[in-house]
Amino acid sequence: MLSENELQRYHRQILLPDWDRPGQEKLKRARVAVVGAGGLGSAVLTYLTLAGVGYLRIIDPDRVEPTNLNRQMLHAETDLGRQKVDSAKDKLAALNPRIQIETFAEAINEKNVLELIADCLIVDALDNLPARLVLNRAALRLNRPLFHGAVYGWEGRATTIYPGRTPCLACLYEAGLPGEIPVVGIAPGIIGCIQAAEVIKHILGTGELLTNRMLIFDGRTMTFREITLKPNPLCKECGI
Amino acid sequence: MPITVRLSDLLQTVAGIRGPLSITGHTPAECLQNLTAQYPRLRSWLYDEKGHLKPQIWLLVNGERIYATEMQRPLGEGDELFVIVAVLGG
Repeated sequence: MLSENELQRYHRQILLPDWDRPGQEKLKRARVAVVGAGGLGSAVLTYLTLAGVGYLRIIDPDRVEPTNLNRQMLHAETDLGRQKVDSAKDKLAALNPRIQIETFAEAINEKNVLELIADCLIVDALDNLPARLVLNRAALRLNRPLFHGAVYGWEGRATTIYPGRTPCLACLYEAGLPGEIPVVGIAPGIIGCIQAAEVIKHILGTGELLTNRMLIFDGRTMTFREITLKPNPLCKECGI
Repeated sequence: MPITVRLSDLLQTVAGIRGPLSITGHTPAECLQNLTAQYPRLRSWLYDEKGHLKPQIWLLVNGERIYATEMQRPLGEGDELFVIVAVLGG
């Protein structure tokens, strides 16, 4: 049941015929784990919080550093040195105190991943391939959707993975670029918003998801291209 | 046969170009060879020391991802080859 306060807070989205009160109640019952509270995570978490996702789990081992502040909008100068999960939780709780937020200041690995993402939809807001592949294996094992985003410079990418029905991350990625990754702040902001939209549509059961396709954002030319994805016959993970 | 080749923002920056290119080639592999002959700065981004395509390079023919097994796939008039780099930042 939604309270009067919740009906007011979410009024503008409840107005949508395919959202309405039942959709808002679905969001309230939903549980989402966002792995990474950096640039992508800041945007995903902000919009899932505002939309009224009932339970959010934030997973990130890092502390806030000065170099994060050009893009990671959940963290401020006053948060330097704090755990990112704590900084993020404070801001999100202020935005919407009616949702439950749980935090884990841990790096995911093969040993802890299943426990950390238990009972949750999974958002990949990470910044490196090894951890992303750990998350991918867990999503495949649990047969749970994985909402993927990635950025570099002015560019961003997003796709939604349904195990057994779409290529998995290991189909798509064999390697990334070495070294420190340059990022223009708007790129993870835009891609994180797209990831949040995908999560919301999945929960509501509405619209078309970015399955078997990837959105490629180029901020320099301000264009979006869509590419078609297919399983990699050499993939060692999903075997579809 | 001239093929329209598009590069991601990062690769355009490396090559020092903006916009699509017209590159001759009958297969993705041949197009890439001709592309790097015209724009040598791309070579170290696309190929390793042994001349193999780097695993972080993605190729798309008419918007569809192709994999290493399809490098000799025939290209025809009007086809577009899109070359991008796998990005992983967050």
